[in-house]
Amino acid sequence: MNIRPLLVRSSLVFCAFGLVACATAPAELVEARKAYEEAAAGETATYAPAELKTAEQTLQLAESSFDDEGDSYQTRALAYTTERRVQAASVIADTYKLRQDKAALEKEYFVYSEEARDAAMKQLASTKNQLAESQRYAESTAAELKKQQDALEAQEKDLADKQAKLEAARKAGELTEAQLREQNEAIKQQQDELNKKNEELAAERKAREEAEKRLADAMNRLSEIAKIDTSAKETIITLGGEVVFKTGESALRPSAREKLNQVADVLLENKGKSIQVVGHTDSQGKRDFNQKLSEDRANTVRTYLIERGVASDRITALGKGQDSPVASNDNATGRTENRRVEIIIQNDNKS
Amino acid sequence: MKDYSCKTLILLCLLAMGGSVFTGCASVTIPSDQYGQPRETIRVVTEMGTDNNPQAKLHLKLANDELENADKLIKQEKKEEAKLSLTRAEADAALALALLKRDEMKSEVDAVQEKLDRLKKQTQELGGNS
Repeated sequence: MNIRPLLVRSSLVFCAFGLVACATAPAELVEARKAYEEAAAGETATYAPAELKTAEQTLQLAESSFDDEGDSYQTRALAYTTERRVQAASVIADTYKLRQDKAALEKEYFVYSEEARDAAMKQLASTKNQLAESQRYAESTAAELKKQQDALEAQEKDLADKQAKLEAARKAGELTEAQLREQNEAIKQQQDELNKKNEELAAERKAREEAEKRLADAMNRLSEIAKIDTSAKETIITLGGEVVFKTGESALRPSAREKLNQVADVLLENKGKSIQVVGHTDSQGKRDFNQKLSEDRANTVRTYLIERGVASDRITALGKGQDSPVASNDNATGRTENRRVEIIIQNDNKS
Repeated sequence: MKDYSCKTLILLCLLAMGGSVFTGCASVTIPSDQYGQPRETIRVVTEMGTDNNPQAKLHLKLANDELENADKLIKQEKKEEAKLSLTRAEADAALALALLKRDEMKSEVDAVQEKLDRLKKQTQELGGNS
């Protein structure tokens, strides 16, 4: 038996198998594998697992096709499809994350709009109080002045009546010259007193107007650098903590002195009224530290205002630490608002 | 007897092979959803418009090209290859659609951010006027 043809045929078959086994994967399959591995190691696996799973199944089909048929049209087509499906899964993962971002922003908008509405309502109430207070003050001042004016007019009328009676009596010969002189002297004295009272009233009115103007000017200047809230009970001047103090310290910034001078001007125009300086902090850091810092800051401001002429028995200092926030401590804007010093003027006179 | 049995056997084998060939040809059908799905996705992408997204535009074109190729292959009775072309067409169309939907979501996020920024600005102005 001639075995040579058999050996040649066997060799050819083995070579063919060898060629198939050693065939290089097509570029599409290499790219598909790489794309899948990157996506599986990243956020796509978290946010688009189902889509990535579909891509994985397609990749497995491509690998099987390559194992069975080598670099065939089917292998390349399946590899191409795998890569597209991986890309689509990554894009879908991005879209999912964007949807989460949108939900977070919508929540923030809702919370912020609630806070803004509350702030607007508070400001409206404060403005209404200020207006009511101004009206009451104007009415009481006008009423008082009218009362004094009426009293003076009554006195003038009374004097005029007395003079008329005297003159009539003189004409009727009922009084002697001496008596007449005496009566006239008394009337003149009363007239002088009346004139003096009129002058005093005018001077008082003028002084009051000037004081009101000075106070209004001082408040206007102050409103450019501080927040002012006025109610029937009190006026609150709020200065930002970072405007007055360095972070974590209770010593005044040099630039803060000018602002506190303006505050002192307002306080000196509000003579006799009780004043309280209150220090506040945000909630970052230890509670004990924040409490002490707020007390030290309040005392620093009190000391400075006394140096500027405010009577020491009118003004007290208090630290409230982090316990009276006016905004949320969850964001930087809110924490900045909470770090503040309030100077509270009681609107009832302490004379 | 022996020759007759061998010939009959050979004939039966040939018939079986031929039958399987015919059966094989007749069994390669393209499911209607595999045929229709890429067309539907392409329609949706075209309606949404790809002018603002060059990448989506490219994949839409690739999908249309593959669809055209699939139709040619079907006419040539190369249905296995046609099925592969349809699969590629659907993958490209689906990617184009995903890109456009991502753009839509980005626009929605930007709109909410703008609304929030506007509200914050208005609130600050109101606070400054107090």
